[in-house]
Amino acid sequence: MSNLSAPLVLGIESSCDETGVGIVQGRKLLANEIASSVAEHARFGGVVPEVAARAHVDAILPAIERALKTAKIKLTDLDAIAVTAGPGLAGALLVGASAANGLAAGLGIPLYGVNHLAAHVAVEYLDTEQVIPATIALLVSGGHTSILKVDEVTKDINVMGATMDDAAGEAFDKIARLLGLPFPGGPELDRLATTGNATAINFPRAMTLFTDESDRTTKEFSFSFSGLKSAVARHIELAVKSSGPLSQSTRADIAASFQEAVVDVLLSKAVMAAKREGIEHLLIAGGVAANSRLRTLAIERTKAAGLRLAIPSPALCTDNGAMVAALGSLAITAARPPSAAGLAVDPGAAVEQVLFP
Amino acid sequence: MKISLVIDTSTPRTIAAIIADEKVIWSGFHDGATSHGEALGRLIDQAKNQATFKSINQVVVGMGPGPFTGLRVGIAFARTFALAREIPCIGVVSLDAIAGAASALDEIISDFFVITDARRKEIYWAKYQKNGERITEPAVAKIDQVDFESFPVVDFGFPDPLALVKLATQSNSIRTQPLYLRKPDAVLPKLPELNYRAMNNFDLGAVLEIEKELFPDPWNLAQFKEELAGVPKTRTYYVVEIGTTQKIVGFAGLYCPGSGADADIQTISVSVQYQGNGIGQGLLDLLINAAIERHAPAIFLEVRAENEQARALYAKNGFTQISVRKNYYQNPQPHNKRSDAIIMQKILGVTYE
Ligand SMILES: [Zn+2]
Repeated sequence: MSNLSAPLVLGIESSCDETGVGIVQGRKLLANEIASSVAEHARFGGVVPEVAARAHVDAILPAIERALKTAKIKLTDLDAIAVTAGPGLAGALLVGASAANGLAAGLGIPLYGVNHLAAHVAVEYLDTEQVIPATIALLVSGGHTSILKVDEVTKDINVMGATMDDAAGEAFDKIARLLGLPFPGGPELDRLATTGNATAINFPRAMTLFTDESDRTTKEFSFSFSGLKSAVARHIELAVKSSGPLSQSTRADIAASFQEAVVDVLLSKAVMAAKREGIEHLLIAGGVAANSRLRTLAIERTKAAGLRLAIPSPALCTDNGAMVAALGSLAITAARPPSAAGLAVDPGAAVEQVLFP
Repeated sequence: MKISLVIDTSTPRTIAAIIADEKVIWSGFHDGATSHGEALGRLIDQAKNQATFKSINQVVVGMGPGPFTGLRVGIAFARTFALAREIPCIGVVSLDAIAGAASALDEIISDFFVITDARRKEIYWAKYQKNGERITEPAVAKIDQVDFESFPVVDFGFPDPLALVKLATQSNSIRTQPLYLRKPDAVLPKLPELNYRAMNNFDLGAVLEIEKELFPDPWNLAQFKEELAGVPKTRTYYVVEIGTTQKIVGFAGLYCPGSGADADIQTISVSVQYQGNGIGQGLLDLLINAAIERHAPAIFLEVRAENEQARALYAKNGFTQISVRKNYYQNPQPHNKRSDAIIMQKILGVTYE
C-alpha cells in the first residue's frame, strides 16, 4: 500500500438496481458515478432481480471508466478495490464482486468486501476532518429500514431495530401506486404531499405504544408498515365507494397524512434510540433521506432533543459507489485486513459483519 | 507470444487456465453450480503463482449459453481484468469449445449436436459439422423439442480451455454480449391490443423517434421518405400501434422488387419499452408473408453481431448465418470501434412462375 493514511480506493456498489462506482483518496471524494436501471424496472412496476443483474453487467465497465475520468486518475494509481458483498440481491451482488475481483487481480492490489449498510454510514465522513463520533444511524430506503448503533464504523455496529415487514421506501412505493403515481413512487408522493394537509387523516403509528413490557424491550426500535399500508388502502377504498374517484386535494391529503405517519414513527424512534444510548449524533441515510418532510421534521426534532443531525447530500444518500470506497478507505486506515481470494457475497449479511473475511 | 487468461463459467464447472500460444501452462477447475464467484477467485489466486501471470496479454472468456448467474461471474471478471491490464478481452461461444474438443474424438464421424444443462428441464444446444464448425445458432429448448436427426449428441461436456483460445480468432464464435437466450423471469403487464398496418408519411415522426432510441447511426427523415417512395413497387413497410392510443411502438420494412429477385429485410424495430411482447415476431411474420406473396426465392437480412436477441429471433424463424461483414456498423463515441454485421438467409422455397 503506497499511502496508508490517504489510500486511493475505488468502490463498486451493485446490491440492487444502481450500478455505482466511486473513487476516494483517504476521506476525499474524487468521483461518484451512478448508472440506474430504474427505467427498465418501471416497465415491470418494481425491481426485477434478473433485470438488475443484467443491467449491472452492461453498466459497470462504462461506470468505472467515467469514474476514472472524473477523478483524473489511472487504474494503476489505485491502492485498493472495495465492493459491496452484502446484504442485497444475490445475482446483482455477484456481478459487482466479480468485477471488483477482476480489477484487484488484474492490478495486483487488495480487495475489501464491505457491508452495504455500514457503507451508508461511512459516506458521511467524506470531505470532513471530523473525528468520527459514535452515531445512531437511521437507514431508510426501498430496501432497508433500520436503526443502527455505530461505535466504530469499520468494526463495531449493532442493530437496535429494523422493519418487521416492508421497508419504508417500499411502503412509499406501494401507497404511491394506490394513488395512481408512477414507479418509483417515493419522490412523486413527496411532491403530491406538499400540497396536502398532513393532519387530515390520523393514520396509525405502529409499535409506538406498548402495553406489555417484554414487547417494549424487544420491539421498541422495530418498525412495521404493513398495518399502516392496509389502513391507507382501506381509507382509499371507502373514500372511492362513498364519493367516487378521488379529487386531487383528497389524494394530496392522503399522501401527506401517510407520509407524516411514516416520518413521525421513524424520527420518534431514532431520537429515542440516541437518548437511550447517550449518543449525540444522528445520521440519516438511504434513498428515503431525500424525502423533504423527513428532512424538515428531522431538523426540528433533533434540535428539540439537543442532537447533532447529519444527512449526506441526496447523491450520497441513495446507493452509490463512493460510500463503498469510503468504508474501504476507513478500513485500510484502521489497518483492517483485506478479504481473502474467493470473497463470497452474502445476500442476507447482518450489519455486524462490517468487513468480509 | 499470445499469453491468454482463459475463463469459463457457463456450466457448473468454473474453469480458468493460462495458455501460451497453444500450450497449456496451467489450468484448474472447480465443480459446483452455485459457487462460481468464490471458485473463480480461488482459481485466479492459484494462477498468480505462475511466472506467466504477469505477462498475460489477452483474456478469452466463454459467453455461454449458460445459466444467468454463473455466466455473469466469468464475464464480469474477465472484462475488468482486461481493463486493469489494458489488454483485449475476447468473448466466444462456450458451446463451440465443447464441440471443438469433441470433434477430435474418434466417435464423431458425422454432424453432431452439443447440449448442456440449462436447468428447469431445458437444454442449450447447437448443431455442428464433423470438423467442429457450428451450423445453427445456439438455442435453448426442452430436450424432447429438439430433433437430433439420429446424429450423435455430446452431453455433459465442459468447454475445453485450449479450444476456447482457438475460437478467439474465429469470427463465427466471437460474441460481445452474454448468451442468456432466456428472458428475465419477470412478467410484463399485459399490453393492450396491438394493431399492425402499412406505414405512411404521417407516421414518420414517431418512427424517427424509435429509430433514434434504438440505433447509434439512425436513418434520417429523407432516407425514410425515399424508402416509402418505393412502396409498393420495391418496398413494403409496416408500423405497429397500441390499439387504444394509436401510439406507434414499432415498425418494419422489406425490400422486395419481385420478378424472382430475393427479398431483403431493411429493418425491424421495436421501442425498448415494448420489447419482449412478441412484437418483433409479429412484424417478422408480416415481412416473410410479403416476401412469399412476391415470390421471392429467399429472404436476407443483416443484424448487428451484438444483437443476440434479434439473432435468436431470426434463428427461431429458420434464418441461418451465411457470412459476416466486418466492421459494418458504426458505434457511438467514444467507443468508435465498429461492429460486425451478421448476414442471415432464409430459403422460402417458392419459385417464380
Ligand atoms: Zn442502500
